[in-house]
Amino acid sequence: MERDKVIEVKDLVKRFGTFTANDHLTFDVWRGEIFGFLGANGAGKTTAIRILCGLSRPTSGRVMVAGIDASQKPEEIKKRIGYMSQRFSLYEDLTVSENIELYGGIYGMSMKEIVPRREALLEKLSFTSYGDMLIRALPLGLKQKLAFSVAVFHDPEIVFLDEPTSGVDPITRRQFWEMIYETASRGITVFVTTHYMDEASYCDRISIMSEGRIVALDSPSALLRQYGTASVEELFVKIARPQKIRE
Amino acid sequence: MKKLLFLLRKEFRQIRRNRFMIRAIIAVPILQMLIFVPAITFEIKRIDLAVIDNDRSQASRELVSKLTGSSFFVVTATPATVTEAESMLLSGDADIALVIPPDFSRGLAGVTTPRLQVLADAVNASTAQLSWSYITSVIRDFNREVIISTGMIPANMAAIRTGSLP
Amino acid sequence: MKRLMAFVRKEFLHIFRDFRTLIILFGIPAAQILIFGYAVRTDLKDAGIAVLDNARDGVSKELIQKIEASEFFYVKRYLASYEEIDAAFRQGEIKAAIIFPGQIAASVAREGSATIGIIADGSEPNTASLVTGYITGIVNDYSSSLASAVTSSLPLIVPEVRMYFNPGLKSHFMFIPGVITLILILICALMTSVTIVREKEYGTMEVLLVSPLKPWQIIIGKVTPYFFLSLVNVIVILLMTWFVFGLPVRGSIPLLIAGCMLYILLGLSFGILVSASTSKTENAVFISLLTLMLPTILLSGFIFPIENMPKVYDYVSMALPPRWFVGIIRAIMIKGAGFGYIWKETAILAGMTLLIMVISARRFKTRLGEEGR
Repeated sequence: MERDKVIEVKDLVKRFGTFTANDHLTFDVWRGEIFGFLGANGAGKTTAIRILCGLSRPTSGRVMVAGIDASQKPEEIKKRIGYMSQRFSLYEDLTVSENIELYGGIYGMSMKEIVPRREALLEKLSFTSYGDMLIRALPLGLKQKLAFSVAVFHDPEIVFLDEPTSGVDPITRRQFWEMIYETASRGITVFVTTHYMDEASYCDRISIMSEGRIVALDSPSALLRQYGTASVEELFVKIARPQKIRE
Repeated sequence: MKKLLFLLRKEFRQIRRNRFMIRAIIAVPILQMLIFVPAITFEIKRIDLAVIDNDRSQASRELVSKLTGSSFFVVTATPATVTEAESMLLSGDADIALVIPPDFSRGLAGVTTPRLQVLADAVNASTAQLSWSYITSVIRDFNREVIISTGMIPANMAAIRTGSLP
Repeated sequence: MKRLMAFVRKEFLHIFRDFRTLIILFGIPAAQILIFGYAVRTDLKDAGIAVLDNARDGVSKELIQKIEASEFFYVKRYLASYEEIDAAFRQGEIKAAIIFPGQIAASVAREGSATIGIIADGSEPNTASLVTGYITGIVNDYSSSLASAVTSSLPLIVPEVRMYFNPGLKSHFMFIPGVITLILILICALMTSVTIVREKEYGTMEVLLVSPLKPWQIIIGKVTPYFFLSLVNVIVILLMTWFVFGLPVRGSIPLLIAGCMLYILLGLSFGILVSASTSKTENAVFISLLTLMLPTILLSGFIFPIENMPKVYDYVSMALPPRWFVGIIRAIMIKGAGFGYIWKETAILAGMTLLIMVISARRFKTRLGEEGR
């Protein structure tokens, strides 16, 4: 059975002036998989993600996200994806419910669709009586879990997570990844970047970027065998170059 | 005490490197002060006059030229009716409208007492009052000249003048 | 469209939750109006003057009486000698000193003329010129009455004045439209630039950009609440000037509101332009304040009449929107003028608004398009 590809990237090049941030990237992401996008800082990850999210256009190459050509119709892509930013996605001075309603509305859902789903979400998070609490009052771990839930609230085809567990304690991280598994099993593809190497091993497949190129792409276990390293961390240190000082 | 000095050094360095701050807090205000200060003045430089001359005599023309002789008054229009003049006050085309009555020159011959109407745009009250005071001075002088020139009274007409001391 | 409504709702929530912002939004305009209406006065009232009366005869006494009778002056001190004048000025008690030479009545009778000296405190040039002007006026009046006593049959031109638009000669008629001009543009530009830059600082702007919301929708969403709030502000200010100062709107109120809406739009667009130039909230505040405050106060004709400035400044002020709006608002509020009188200023203001809107929209798009910052 041929699984369908939800992201297809072939020879993606992105240049800023004379600097090449993405140098002929080629990779695909299957529907429903958890794809880890790793790389040192400054390797070009953020640039690639912005192209995938429809925020910028490739200099050359073919990029299809959720069936849409990223160089032609990036705005269409935005409707089908979800995004969780590394900093904050939720507005601190709005309540839990208000944030949910906001993003639901922005992604085109009507109040009729939003309300029941919101109630279900609050219940799942054991948060039913806290719907009117300001985000500001929540602990970080809870904020992150909530931000993730909001990012997938509108049932996107893919959700992009930019270092979602930074600064979060290990227990909450574990719970977070359980949420990710559950989301993926619903058919939503999860595209996640992280610097936590143990999280990399939770992914179905990972890619490692270094200096604008992809230097590794496969399932974690396959890569470990291929490079003979005991952990993803070792693998990373072996093949990824640290960030250079740009003139 | 020394700790404080280190802190101060850091603060100054930060400000020096913060190009925006330098521009915003120091350069822009200074520049603005230098540029704008010469503009600030309440001194009246110019008053736009609309003159309705219903007499059209030599006397009325002389009065108008006496007004424009001072550097303040500039005749910008000669409307025909008071309504037109009022419209100029509304639009701001004139600051003051002068209505010279038809019996102006006759009045100067001693027949009637001509009433000169001054319509002033008083939105800026002080300017209006000052302008009015200038106009009355000019008219008073004009009046005396007329009287003197027609020889009705010797040159030393009873009058009190004001001036500033050295 | 639905997406936009959800977004606009959020903006309103933000504003009303932030108490400090509300204070700024509504409190400062009110405070400014009160200050400029009550405290700041350029008219002359009860100015203290000193008199050195060396004549002490009928003429001088009558003149002094007339001067005191006017509402502008009162005689604060009677000086005994010339030397005391300096000290009186230095102490700051008096705005002017009037010097009567000896035997004035006699000179008038004998020679037909006399000279009175006026010394004014020049450190406040505006007051000085008003003082000199008014005293001269009073003296002139007296002088004519003397003359007409002598020459009652001689012709005298009697000028009469009618003060249009401001018969009570109140100074706040000139100021209050100016204050409205200043406040509106400051608040609109400040609030808009701050709200947009704050999103950038928090990182939520990134999220908005990834969402299906188009950039223009983001801008409209940010700006709409402030548009309405500014209108509310305008109405509050107008009510205040009416009830507190007795300054009604003489002209058409709908026309005034329409003019305000145009100007508010301009202020908001300017705020967007500022927000596209910086990514730190404090910078946005600085830029808005510095570029708008002094130029508007000094060059818009708000306090200092433009006709009195050197020609150069006249041209410079033509590039400033507040100058045109002051004209519009004064014409409608105080002169009661209709649209026919202000179409020129309105057209210019509309042109400027359009220009700023286009520039700021472009800048916003380019800045955020490729970089997301």
